[in-house]
Amino acid sequence: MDWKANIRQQLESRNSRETTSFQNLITFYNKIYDSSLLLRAQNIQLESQIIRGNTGGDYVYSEKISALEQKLLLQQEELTELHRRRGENAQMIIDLNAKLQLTEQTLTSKNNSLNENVKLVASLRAEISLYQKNNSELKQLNQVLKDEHQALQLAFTKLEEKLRTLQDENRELVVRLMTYKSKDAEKLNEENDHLVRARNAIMQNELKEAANDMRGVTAECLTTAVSNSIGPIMASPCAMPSKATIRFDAHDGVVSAVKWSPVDRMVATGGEDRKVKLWDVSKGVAECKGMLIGSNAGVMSVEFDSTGGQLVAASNDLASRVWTVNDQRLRHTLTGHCAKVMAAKFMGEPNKVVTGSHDRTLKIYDLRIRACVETKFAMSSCNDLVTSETVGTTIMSGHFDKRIRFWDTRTEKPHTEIEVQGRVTSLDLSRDCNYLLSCVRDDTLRLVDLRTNKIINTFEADGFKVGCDWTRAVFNLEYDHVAVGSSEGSVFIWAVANPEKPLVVLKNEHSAPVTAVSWHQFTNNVASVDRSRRAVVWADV
Amino acid sequence: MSMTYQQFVEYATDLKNHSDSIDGGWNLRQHQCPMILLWKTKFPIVCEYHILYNPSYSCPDVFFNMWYTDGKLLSLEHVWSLVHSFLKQNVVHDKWNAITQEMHPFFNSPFFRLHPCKNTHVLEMLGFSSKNIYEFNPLIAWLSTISPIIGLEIDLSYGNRRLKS
Amino acid sequence: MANDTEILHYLWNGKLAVCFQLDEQEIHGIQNPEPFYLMVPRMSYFPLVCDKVKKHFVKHVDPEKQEMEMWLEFKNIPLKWNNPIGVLYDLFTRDDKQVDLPWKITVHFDNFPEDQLLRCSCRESIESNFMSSMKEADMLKHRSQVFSTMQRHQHNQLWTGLLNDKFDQFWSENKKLMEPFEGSYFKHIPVHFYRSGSSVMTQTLVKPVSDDGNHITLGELMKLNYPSVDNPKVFTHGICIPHETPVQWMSEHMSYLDNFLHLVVI
Repeated sequence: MDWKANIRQQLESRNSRETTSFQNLITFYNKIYDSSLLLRAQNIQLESQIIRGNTGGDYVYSEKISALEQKLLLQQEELTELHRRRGENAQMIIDLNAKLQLTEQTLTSKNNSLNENVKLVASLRAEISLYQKNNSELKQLNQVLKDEHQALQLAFTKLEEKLRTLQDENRELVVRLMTYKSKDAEKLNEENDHLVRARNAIMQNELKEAANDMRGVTAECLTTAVSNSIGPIMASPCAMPSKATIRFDAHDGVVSAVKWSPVDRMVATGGEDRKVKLWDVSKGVAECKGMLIGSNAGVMSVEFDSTGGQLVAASNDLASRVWTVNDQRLRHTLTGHCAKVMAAKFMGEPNKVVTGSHDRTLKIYDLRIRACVETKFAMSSCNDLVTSETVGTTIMSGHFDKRIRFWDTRTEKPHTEIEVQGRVTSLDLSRDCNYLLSCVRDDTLRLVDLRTNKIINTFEADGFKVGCDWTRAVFNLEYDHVAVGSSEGSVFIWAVANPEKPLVVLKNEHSAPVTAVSWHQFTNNVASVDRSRRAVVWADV
Repeated sequence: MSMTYQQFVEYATDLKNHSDSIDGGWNLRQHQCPMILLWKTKFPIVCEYHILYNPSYSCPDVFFNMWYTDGKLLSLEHVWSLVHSFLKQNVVHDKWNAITQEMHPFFNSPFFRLHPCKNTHVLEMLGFSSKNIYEFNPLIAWLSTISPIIGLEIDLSYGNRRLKS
Repeated sequence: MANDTEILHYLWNGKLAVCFQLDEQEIHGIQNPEPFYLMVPRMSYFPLVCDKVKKHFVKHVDPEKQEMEMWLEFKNIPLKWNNPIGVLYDLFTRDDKQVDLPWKITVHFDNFPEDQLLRCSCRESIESNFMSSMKEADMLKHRSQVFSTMQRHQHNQLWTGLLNDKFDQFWSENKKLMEPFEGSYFKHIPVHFYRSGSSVMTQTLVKPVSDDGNHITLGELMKLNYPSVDNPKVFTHGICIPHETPVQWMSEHMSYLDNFLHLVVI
């Protein structure tokens, strides 16, 4: 029954197409239309009523009218409300559309950035792999280098061992050399002793003869004659000064330094009055030969060079000065210290001056360029220093911290230090540069053997007190006697061989502590100065 | 079966011939099937009568129209009112089943028409059947019966006709 | 069969959306009338459904003309109210394309085309037209044996069923008319043929069964009646009937309410 099904299907579709599509629409439309007609009719009726001007009995009507008007108003309001809402909705739609577009834009931008990041990640990954490759290569290189280093290290340790053995050998050889040198020195000493003894013997003989010949000649003339002669004059071993021969006021104030000139019978003194005075004592009285001025503060030490032509003085004005003695002209002013300079000594030809100061440094000045060429830091205020020509040691300095330091000009640090029991106030070096005399604040003098760097003798006595921090103790020319000034105004002299007891005590001349003493080169005359301007020359009478 | 198609054609031709002889005005036309028509003016009404064969009812069918002289068609009420007085009551009683307006099957325009069931009724009443052969023209007999209803005057001479066998 | 009743329901419920508009030249007064929309049943007749239409438009017409009979026109062709609405609509189908819905029909009050339209002054004219159609259909199907035996109230029921759109009321009586009186076939099939584009109706005697006893299908019917038309399409109720449909079945189920088949041949 295909045809039947066909017909049925066609009818079904026809009905849905023709009927159902329009049915509801038209019924509603008609309803609306009818209601509108109704309303229109009502409207007309009401209008006609109004036109007719119904009053009174149309109270009901007017009520109805007002009610209707109210309804109308409400409806209008509703209508406007709906319009407004529609506008709002439209606006919302627009806003949402805009938002949508925005979000779409952000989405696309995020997608873009994502893509970019992906690309970046890929590139970074590539970089990483590259770096990893590099890293592994470097590690390999590193490993190779480490291996090489190890090998080198081994070689180095071997070489070090070699060095050590060589250094030991070196030291051994040096020690041997030293022993040989000391042996040599001993031999020389022996020879010298011999010579000295021989000369002494000759001298004695001559003296005996002279004494035999000339009785009545005063000791003073003798000594004068003796002292006028050039060259080393051997005095008798027992010819110690015993009496003050010359007394004079050297300075206005404390006299801190005194030194015999190596060539003339001249004494240089330095004092608190900033002057260095030269005294001629050859005629029995002190004649002031000249004044070396230029210092701005008290002079702490004076020193002649080996020729006697120049004099260096260390001053409290932080500088040292060099004069030529003949014309008493100031040649050099050596500044640089930060505290008072306690000692200044010539070194070398002399073209160098070494100064020691309370600023805990030693300075070496080159006189040719007039400048400080070296500064050695000594850690402690230097009270006195001496220079020597021994190989290995050229400067010795005595310090406030109870140490004596031995310096090589080439080194920064002292190669040896010796400790004593008190502050070192002065140092003096024996002529053969083997012995060092130090005056120590514990009221002793110490004798140090430079060959062994050990204290071999201690000189002390009752009544001997070190008066000040720069009390100077000195060797005599033959370095068999030592002299020092004491705080109660006397000068003590010991024989080196007999340190317990002083050989001579020179008293009654000084009323103040004796600050410095100096032996004459050739005779055993001693000059001493004290804190109360007095200078005294002692001789053997 | 009241009248077959062939019988109708035969009767119609006979009517036509007689009409020609007395100058009755009937014409014979062929529109899918023969039809005789008549124009008549009965002042102030112009009438037109068509007689066709109705195959559904197997009987003749009459369509007619009446116009005023200005061309306006008569209303149905007026047509009913023209029914001859002695039949009027019958007709009026059941006028909606007697004369109504119908579309002419050939001309496709409105014509007044006598209901076919009425026609068969008349024929039955007259005792006609297609099985018989009559000497007279049953068509004329029928036409003369219904003519008062439709306002048609038929000359009495039609009644004297004898069918030529 | 259940299917067939379904088809009967479909047919009964077919409705068309019509938009009635007053002819512009007949508009009287400043206010233009709104077009009137209506769902009209396919199986019904225009004068039965157009009361509201008349009421709606009559006040817009020149008062002198208000008493005149309303007539309808589509594309300048007056609509013959004696045909069912569905038939009138289908007649305007051209080349398989039906008229767009809603169907825009123009309403006239003036210049009634007497030479084309039957007058419809009152309801009885429609009823008599309908009833005469039924009688003729019955005559063709059953030699008038069924309809004449029905009583007046049954005839009324048919009419009121149509008027009030009551399917059950109508078909409880109509089914009697749809049963063959003798045997399984009607004597003849009541059918009106229309060619698309014209409202000329042709009617021929159609037998539902061929001489050798087989039922005749629509295709065979077409060959008989329209041998010149090549592959004729048959429209009724707005649908195209397949050619193999038996004509007897069609008459039983696809007739309009006046028991006639109205077939538009394209």
